[in-house]
Amino acid sequence: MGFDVYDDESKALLHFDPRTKFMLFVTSLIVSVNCFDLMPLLIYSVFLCAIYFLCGKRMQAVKLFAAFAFLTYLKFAMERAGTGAPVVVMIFSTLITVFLFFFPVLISLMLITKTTRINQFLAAFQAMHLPNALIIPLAVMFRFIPTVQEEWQGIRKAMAFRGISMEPAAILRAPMKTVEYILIPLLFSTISVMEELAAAALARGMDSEKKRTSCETVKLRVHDDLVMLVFLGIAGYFVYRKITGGAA
Amino acid sequence: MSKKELKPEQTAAKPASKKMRTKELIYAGAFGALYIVLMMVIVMSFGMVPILYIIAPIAVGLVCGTVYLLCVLKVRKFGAALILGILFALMTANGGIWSICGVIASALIAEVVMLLGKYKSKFMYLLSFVIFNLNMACPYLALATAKDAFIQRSREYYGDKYADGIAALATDWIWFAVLGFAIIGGILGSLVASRLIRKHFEKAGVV
Amino acid sequence: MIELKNVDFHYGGENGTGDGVDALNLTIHDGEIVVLCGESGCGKTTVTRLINGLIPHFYEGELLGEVLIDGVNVSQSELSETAKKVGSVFQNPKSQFFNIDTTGELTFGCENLGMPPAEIARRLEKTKDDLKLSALMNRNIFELSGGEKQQIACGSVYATEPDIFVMDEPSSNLDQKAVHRLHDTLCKMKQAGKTIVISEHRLHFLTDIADRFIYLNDGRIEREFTCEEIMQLSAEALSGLGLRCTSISQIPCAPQPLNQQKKPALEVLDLSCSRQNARILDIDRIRLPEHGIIAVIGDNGCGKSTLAEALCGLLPCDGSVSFGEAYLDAKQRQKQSYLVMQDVNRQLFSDSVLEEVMLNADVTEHDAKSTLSALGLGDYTDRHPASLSGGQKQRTAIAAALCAGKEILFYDEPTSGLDCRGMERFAALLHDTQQRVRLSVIITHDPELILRCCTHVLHLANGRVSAFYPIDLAGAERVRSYFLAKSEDSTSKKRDHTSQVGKILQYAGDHRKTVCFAAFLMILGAAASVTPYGIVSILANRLLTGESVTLQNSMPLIGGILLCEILYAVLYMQGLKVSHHAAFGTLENIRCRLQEKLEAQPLGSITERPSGEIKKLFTEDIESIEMLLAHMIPEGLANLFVPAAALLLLIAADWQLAVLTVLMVLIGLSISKQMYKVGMDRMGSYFASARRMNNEIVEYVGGMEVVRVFNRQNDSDAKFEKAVREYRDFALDWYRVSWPWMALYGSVFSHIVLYTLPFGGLLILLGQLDVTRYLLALILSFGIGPLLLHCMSFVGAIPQVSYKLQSLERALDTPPLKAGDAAFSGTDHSIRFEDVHFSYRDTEVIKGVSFEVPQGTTFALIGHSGSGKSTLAKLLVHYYDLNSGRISIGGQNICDLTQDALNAQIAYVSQDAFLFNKSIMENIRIGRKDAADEDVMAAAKLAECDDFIRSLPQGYDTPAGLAGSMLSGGQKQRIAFARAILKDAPIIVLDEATAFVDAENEQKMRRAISRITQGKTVIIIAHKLRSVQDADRILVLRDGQIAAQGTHDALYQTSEDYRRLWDISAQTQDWKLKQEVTA
Repeated sequence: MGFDVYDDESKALLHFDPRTKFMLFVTSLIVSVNCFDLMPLLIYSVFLCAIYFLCGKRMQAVKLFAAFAFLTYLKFAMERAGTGAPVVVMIFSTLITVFLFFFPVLISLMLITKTTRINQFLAAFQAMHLPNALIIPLAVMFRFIPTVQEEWQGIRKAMAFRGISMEPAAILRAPMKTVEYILIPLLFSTISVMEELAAAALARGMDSEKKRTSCETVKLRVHDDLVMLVFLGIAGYFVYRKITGGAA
Repeated sequence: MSKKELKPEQTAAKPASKKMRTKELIYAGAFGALYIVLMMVIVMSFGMVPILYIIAPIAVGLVCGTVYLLCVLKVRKFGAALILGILFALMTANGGIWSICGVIASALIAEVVMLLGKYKSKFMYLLSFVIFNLNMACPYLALATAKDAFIQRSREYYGDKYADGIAALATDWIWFAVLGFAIIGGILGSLVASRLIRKHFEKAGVV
Repeated sequence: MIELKNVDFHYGGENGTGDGVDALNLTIHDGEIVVLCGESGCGKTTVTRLINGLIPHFYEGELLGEVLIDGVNVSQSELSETAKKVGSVFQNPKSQFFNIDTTGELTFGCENLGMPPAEIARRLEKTKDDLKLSALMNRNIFELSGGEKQQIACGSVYATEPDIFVMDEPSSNLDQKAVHRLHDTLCKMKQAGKTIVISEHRLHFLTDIADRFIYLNDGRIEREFTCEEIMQLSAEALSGLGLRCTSISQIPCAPQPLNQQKKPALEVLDLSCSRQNARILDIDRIRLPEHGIIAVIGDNGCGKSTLAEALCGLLPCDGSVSFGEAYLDAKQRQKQSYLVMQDVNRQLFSDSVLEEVMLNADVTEHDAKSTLSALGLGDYTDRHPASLSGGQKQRTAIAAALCAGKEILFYDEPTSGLDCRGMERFAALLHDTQQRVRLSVIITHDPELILRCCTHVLHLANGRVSAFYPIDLAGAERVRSYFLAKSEDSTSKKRDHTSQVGKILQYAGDHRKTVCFAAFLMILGAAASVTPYGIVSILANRLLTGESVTLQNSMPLIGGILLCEILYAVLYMQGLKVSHHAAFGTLENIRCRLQEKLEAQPLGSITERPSGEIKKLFTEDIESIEMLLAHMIPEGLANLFVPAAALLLLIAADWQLAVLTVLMVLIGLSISKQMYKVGMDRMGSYFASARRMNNEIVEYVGGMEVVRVFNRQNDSDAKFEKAVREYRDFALDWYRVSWPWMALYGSVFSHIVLYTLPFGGLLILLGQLDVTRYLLALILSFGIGPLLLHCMSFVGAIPQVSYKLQSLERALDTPPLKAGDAAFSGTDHSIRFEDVHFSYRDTEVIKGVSFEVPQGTTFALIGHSGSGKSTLAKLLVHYYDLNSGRISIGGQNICDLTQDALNAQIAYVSQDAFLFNKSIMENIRIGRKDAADEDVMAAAKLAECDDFIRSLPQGYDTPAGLAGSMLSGGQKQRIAFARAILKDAPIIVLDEATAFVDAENEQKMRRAISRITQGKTVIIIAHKLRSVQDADRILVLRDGQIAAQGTHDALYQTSEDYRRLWDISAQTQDWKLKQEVTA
C-alpha cells in the first residue's frame, strides 16, 4: 500500500486535512466516470498535480505529470497522424484513454496514502464521527498489514528448508497442497498474534463503547475550506450535467 | 464433528452479548488485513497476464475462503462479514462508486444469510462465503455500466468502425463470465475452507 | 493494595485447557515489588491476568473467590476501569503494540482513557524524560529491536500513570543490554512508589529490586522467599525447584571436551550482506569445527540473525561459504541446513506431528516414530502441532529437521521464555544430537544455556566478528563478564534510506550547485549536437520534394549546422570543466570526512592494518571515483534529456516508429539491468580478492629482504602466486557471467537502426508512412543512438560509485575510541588499573589486572613475551578500548579525557623510533611544538645525543632521511629520548626502550633514563632485569595476570617466577660465544 509512517514533512508547503483529501478522492471518482472531454480532464489533473506538489512530494508530482503530459501528447500525435493498422491503433488508444481517465483517481489516491500519516487518518475518521466499530478494525488492519508481510517472509523461509517450492510450476502441479501450506502456518501465527494483541489492547483500556481522544489534531483550515469548495463545485457540476443528460 | 451443526459456544461468566465487542472488532480488523493482503498478492501476480486477470476471482475465492470462514467462526456475531466487506471496499475504492456499493451489498447479504442460519448452520456459513466472493466481480461492474457511455463517446470521436471494434471486444458476456467465476471461486473456496477447518483448526481447538 | 481471597480459577471456554489456580490467598501492599516464580504452567501468568482483569473478561472459565484492588472487585468491573489502576506489560514485544509509530503507541493508553490532548502531550514529555526514550521517538515500530519495543511498551503503560504495574515475563525476548535497561526502568518505577507484580523466569536481574519472591507450584502458592533467602539457595536447590539461576557469576560451567578436528564443518570467506543500500554483515573469515555446538552472541542489531540466514542460504550474500570442504551456493546450502526459528508457529504445516515430521522427507514411518520418541514426543504423534506447548512445538521442528537428514542446524533463540527444566531438556537434546549432525549453531541470550552445553562462542559486533573462542574455564569467564557488563546504551539507528545518487550528492555538499550548472551546460551542448540532424533532414526533405537545392539557398542551413557544432563543442568543454571542478570538490569533501573518521579510531586498530591498505584507500580508491563523478551526473543527465526531447519529435514524425524505438530501448535496458544484477553477486568477491592481492603484493615487496636472507623464496612466491591466481579466478568468474548479456546487448540492441530500417520500409510499402517523415525519423535515430549508448554506460557507473563509497565508509567504520571531552583534572599523576580485561582478536590478553602506581615512583613490568606487558602500556595511552575495567590517572578515568589532554600527560617511548622526513631539530621539536632551539639542544644534551648529532654533515639541520641511514638503532632511540625530555610530561612510559642498544651505548642510555625519570611517574617495560633492578616496584606478569609484585629483594625471596626470570636474564648477560677456559 505504500503508507509512509513518518514522511518527510519538511518539504510540504501546505498541510491538508485528511477530510479534504477524501473529498478530492470522491470528486475524482465522479469526474473520471462522467467526464469525457480531454480538456477539462487535463485542467483537473494539472490542478491535482499542483496540490500533490504543494503537499511535499515534489519529484513524484513532477514525474507523474510528465507521464500524463507524455501520454496526452502521444494520443494527440496518434490522432493527428491517422495512420496505423486499426487493431494497433485501437489497442493503444484504449490503453492510453483508460490511463488518462484513471489518472485523477490515481493521483488523489496517492495524495491520501503518501502524504498522510495513519494517525492523522484515524483522527480524521473520529472527527467525522464515524462509529468506533469502524475505526478500530481499520486501525488494526493498518497495523496488521506489515505483520502479515513479516509472517509471510518467515513462512517462505521455513518453506525453503522443507523443500516446499513456491515456483509457478510447482504451484500448478499441486494447487490444493500449496494453498494448504501457505494458509495453515499463516493463519496459525496470525491468530496467535491477534489474540495477544487483543488481550494487550483490552488490558490497556481500549473499549469500543467509550470515546477515544487523539494526540493528533486535525483541523480544517483556510486552504482546506477553499479547496473543498472548489472541488465540491466541480463535483456538483458534473453530477448536475449527468442528471440533466446534457451533451458534451 | 457433526456435519450439520458446529460446536455451540460454551457458557462464559457473563451472557454473551449480540453486539460485537472490542475483542471481536480487533479480530475482524486483523482477518481483514490478512484477507486483503492475500487478495492483493493474488490479483497482482495474476494481473501480469491479461487473460488471467479474469480468472482472479477463482483464485481469490480459493485462498481467501478459509480466512473469511475463520473470521466469522471466531466472531459468530452480526458484523464480521460486514466489516470485512467495508475494508475490502475501501481498498478497492478505485473501482468507482458502484463498485463500493456492490461490495457492501454483497457483504450485507452474506451477513443476512448467516443470521438466518442462527450462526450454527454450517451450510449457511458456506453459502454466505459464496455470496461474499461476489465482491470480486464488483470492480468490473463499473466497467459494465460505464461501457455503454464509453462506446457512445468513442463513436462520436473515432467513428463507427472503431466503436464497433470496441463493442466487439468488450461484450456483455465478459461480465457474466466474471460473475460466474466469482461464484465458482466462492464454492470452491468454501469447500476447501470447510475441509481445512475441520482438518486443522477444529483439531487444534482454535475454533 | 491488591488482595486475592480464596481465588479458584480454571480455564474453560473455547481454548479450555482445564488448568488454573486453586485456593489462592495473596496480599500485596502498596509500593511492594513482588516476583512470581515457578515452573512453566504453575499459574504465574494466571495470577497476573487475575490482577489486570483479563480473567474473566478475556479468558473465559470458572472463577470463584474475589480479586480486590483497593477494595474494588476487579472481576466485576469493566476492563477499561481497571486499566486506569493497573498497567500491563506482556511477554512478546512484537504483538502487544497497537500502532505503527512509537509516539502514537506511547500515547495509546492515555487516548483510550479519554484524556484531553494537552494532558496527553504533557505525559508524553514526562515519560520520554523519565525513561530516556528520546532516541526512540517518531520511529516506525517495526524497525526497532525487541528490547526497544519492550521499552516502548513500558513507556506506553507508564504514561497512563497507574498505581500498579503487572508484567508477564517482560525479559524473555530481550538481550542482555535490554535486560539492564529494563532493570533501570523498574528501579525508576520503584522510586516513584508504584506497586509492581512481575511473573518471571529470569531472576538474576531482579534480586536487587524485589521485595518478595513468591514460588508457585501446580496452581498453588508454595513458598515465599525474601531476597537474601533466594540468593542463598544453591544451584541444585534452585534447579530442584525449577527456577533459573539468581546470579550470573554463579552459573556453573561444565566445559565440553571437543576432539580437535582438522577440517572445519563450516567455513566462511569474505561474507558480506546488505539490505536496502545498507551493509549489515562484513566478515573476513569464520571456521567452525566439526560436531561443535556454537553459541552466537552479540547485541541486538549486530547481525546475528542475518548471519544465520546468510549461512543457511536464505539471504543472498557475497562471499563464499563452505560446508565441509565443498563450497556451496545458496540453494545447496538450503538443502543441507535448517533454521529453527524463534517463532515456531511459522514452521508447522501439517495436521499431525507424524505428518509434519515426514513431510517431504525421505524417511520411513518407523524411523520417524523412533526419532519422535527419542525427543520425548512419542505419545503425541497424532496430535495437531498447534495444540502442543511451545517447547513441544520446537521439538517437533527439530525432529522434522533430523528426519530430513539435515547436516547443520541453526537455532534462533531457542530458550527464550523457557523455564529451568525446559532449558535443561533443550541442553540435553543438543548433547544427544551433537554427534548426529555436523554442526549446531545457536543464537542466544541465555548464559545458562551457553555454559551448560556449548563448545564455542562466536561474538559478533556491528556485523563483524569480534571474537571466537572455545568454552574452557577462561572462556566461561569471558562469557560471564560479557553478560555482566553494563556498557552504555546503543539504540538502533534509523534506517538510512538515501538512494545511491542521494548519497553521492550528500558528499558533494556545497558543490551541488556547480553540479547542476554543469548538467545544464551539458544539456544545452547535447541539444546542440542533435539539431544538425534535424537540419540535415530538412535539406533531404527539400531534395525529396523536388525543390532545387543550390549552394546558395542551403547556405543558411549549412551555416546553422556549423553554428550548432561550434556551440556543442564550446558548451561541452565548459560543462566538462565545471563538472570536473565539482568532482574534485566532492573528492576533497570525501577525503576530509574520511580523515576525520580515521582520527577518531583507536590507534591500535590503525596500526593493525597494513599501511598499504590505508594508503590505497585514501589515494587510489578515492581517485577512481573522480572520473565517474565528473562525467556521470552531468553527462548522464544530458544524455537522458536530449533523447527524450528527440523522442517527442519522433512521435510527431511517426508514432509507430517511435513506439518501436521505445520498445527496443526498453528491452535493451532490461537486458543491461539483468546483466548488472547477475554480476552484482560476483562483484563483491572480486573486489575483496583485489584487496587481498594488493596487500599480498605490498607484503611481498616489503619482506623481500627477510625472505632472501632466510631463503624462504618458495613459500613467499607460492603465497603471491595464490593471491594473484585467486584474483584472476574471481575476475573471470564475474566477467564470464556478464559476457553473454554484454554480447547480446552489444550485438542486438545497441543499434536501433536494425529495427527502424526494415520496419519503416514496411510501413512505406503499406502506404502508412511518407518518405520525408521516415527520413527524419532515421536521421534522428542516428543522432540519438550514440547519446543513448553513452547514457547506458553511466547507468552502470552509479552503483559502482555508491559501492565504493560504502566500502570506504565501512573500512573506517570500526567503533571509534571512546574518548571524552574533559581536560585533565586528576588530583595527581598516580596511575591506577582496576580489574582491566582486554582481549585482542580471539584471545583474552589481559585477564583482570589491578595495580596502582603512586606519583613519582618507578614501576617495572616484566614477564615472558606475550604475557601482556606492552599491551598494558598501550592501554594506558588509550591505544585500544578496554573490554571492562577502568584505568585512571589521578582518579580521572582516561576515557573521559580528550586524546590531546591524555597525550599531554604521558610521554611514550617505544621500541621503534620513527623519524619524520624533516631535520633532526624538527624531529626533536615534535616533543614540544613551541620549544626554542636552545631548549631542543639542551634536551639533546641530556639525552646524550648531542655529540653524534653535531658530527652529522649539517648538524641539527641534517634531514632525517639522510641521517637515518647513518644512525644506528641506539642513536635513533636516543633522539626519541630527547623528544620525551623536551616534552617534559609528568608520566613516562618506556616500552623496551633499551632493546636495540649495544653495551657501549647502554651506559649512556642509562644515564639518560635516570635523568628523565627524576620526579616523574615512570613505567618501564624491560627484558633486561638488571636495568630495572632499582625500580620502586616490580610487577611480574604471567599470562595476562599479575603473578607477583614487590621490590627486587622481596621478589627474589618470595616469587619463584621472578627468580627464574632473573636467573635466565643473568645467564644471557654473561653469555659468551666461546667459553673461556680458566686455567
